[in-house]
Amino acid sequence: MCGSGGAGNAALVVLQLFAGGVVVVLADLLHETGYGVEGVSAASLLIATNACERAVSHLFSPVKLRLAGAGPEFEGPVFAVTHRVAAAPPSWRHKAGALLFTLLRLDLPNLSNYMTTCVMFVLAVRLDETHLRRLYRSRPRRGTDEFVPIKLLYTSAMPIMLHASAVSAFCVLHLHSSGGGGGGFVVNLLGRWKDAGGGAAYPVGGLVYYVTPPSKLLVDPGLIHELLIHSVFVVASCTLLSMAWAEASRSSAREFRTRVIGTGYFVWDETSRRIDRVIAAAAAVGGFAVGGLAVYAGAVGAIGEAGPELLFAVLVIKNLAETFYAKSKLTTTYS
Amino acid sequence: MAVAAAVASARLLARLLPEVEDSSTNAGGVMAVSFRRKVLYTAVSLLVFLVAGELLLYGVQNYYGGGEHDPRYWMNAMSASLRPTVMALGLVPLLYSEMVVHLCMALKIIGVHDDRLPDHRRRL
Repeated sequence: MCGSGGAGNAALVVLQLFAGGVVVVLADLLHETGYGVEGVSAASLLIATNACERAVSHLFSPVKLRLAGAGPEFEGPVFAVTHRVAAAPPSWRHKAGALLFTLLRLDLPNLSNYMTTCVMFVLAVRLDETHLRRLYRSRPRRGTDEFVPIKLLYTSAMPIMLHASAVSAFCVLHLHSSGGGGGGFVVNLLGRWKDAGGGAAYPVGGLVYYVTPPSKLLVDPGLIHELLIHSVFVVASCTLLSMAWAEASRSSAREFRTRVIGTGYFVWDETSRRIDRVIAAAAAVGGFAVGGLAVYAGAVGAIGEAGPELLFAVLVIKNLAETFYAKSKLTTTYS
Repeated sequence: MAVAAAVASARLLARLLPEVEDSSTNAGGVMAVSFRRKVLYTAVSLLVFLVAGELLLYGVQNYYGGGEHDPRYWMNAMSASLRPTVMALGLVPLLYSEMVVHLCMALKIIGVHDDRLPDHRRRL
């Protein structure tokens, strides 16, 4: 991967990567010591920033590509719509055809991807607003009970991120083990790859064919059985990962009880058991909903395969908006 | 002997790197940073991250990764790494260092003494 510079270039590459790591660690430290905005963690903020930067750069990309069989085409849908509608002959039929082509083109990001992204945005915000039934928080004085809402998306978009990361790691390992033509019987049973040039590859058979999202669904309607298998796999794994994450991470039931109820209140045993059951149910239903939303985003084609990443970014943005709204309301109340 | 030399080198390196001071020591334990300043710090951090994500690495041949057919796409998306740039590692230094520290704590190799925070807000 390093060029022909030898040890000097290798040392320079190591220094550059070390500087990048220091920048990331300092950003996280700045956030963790109280100088950042509450409500989201620094890692989630960086992942969401990366996803939004990718989406915006795809939308407004001024790169002009020369496709085979067609004229020059802008990569970004905004410039492509403007260019094609302006360059079409001045009859409504040709301009409508140009608009429809930009809506439905397959090899580059198109406008229907972004319309699906807007629909996914609305659905994710609506899901995040849903709370399960409210629980009681008992104060020492009788008659002053309070309600503690528990979000439906209790584990946010973490199960779909864990699922996508696990599938990607499995694909990378299998791609390396089956490099250089045909391997053994087990390797061929797990999947076969076809080279796509530039270090990329896509699966053409076996297990990796079904665990990866089906691409080009509009071209081949016969892939509906693959879509069904993939949907069941994604939804089931997201549900299981969400329940496991709710148990293992720092948003578990014990941490939730300590953080929300605090140490100054008395909690009945029945309330504790009810909180545990509601958190487990919220994690399962939230994982199911996130998996279904990711399958929908991937099937209809929300910016290629970036459905889970944008779903994660949407939820992070919504948490930031909640923090801003709460702060502005607090400032209004105090002033 | 080698372990002591490694610990001394690590301490020397840690002293050379910059550090973020604790915000609760500014005003006697009270969180003294206003919300507008928090927004400013967060925006500046994200801007630094975005600018570093556009700087190409010197000394590396241009590797065209990413896109829909790259199997490493989701590992890159999960760790917020941009492949041929300074941010090629992404969140990997953050996540793996936290993982290693948690493992050392679980195996009782290192001990953590953190008496600034109350018991229900103890971190790490």
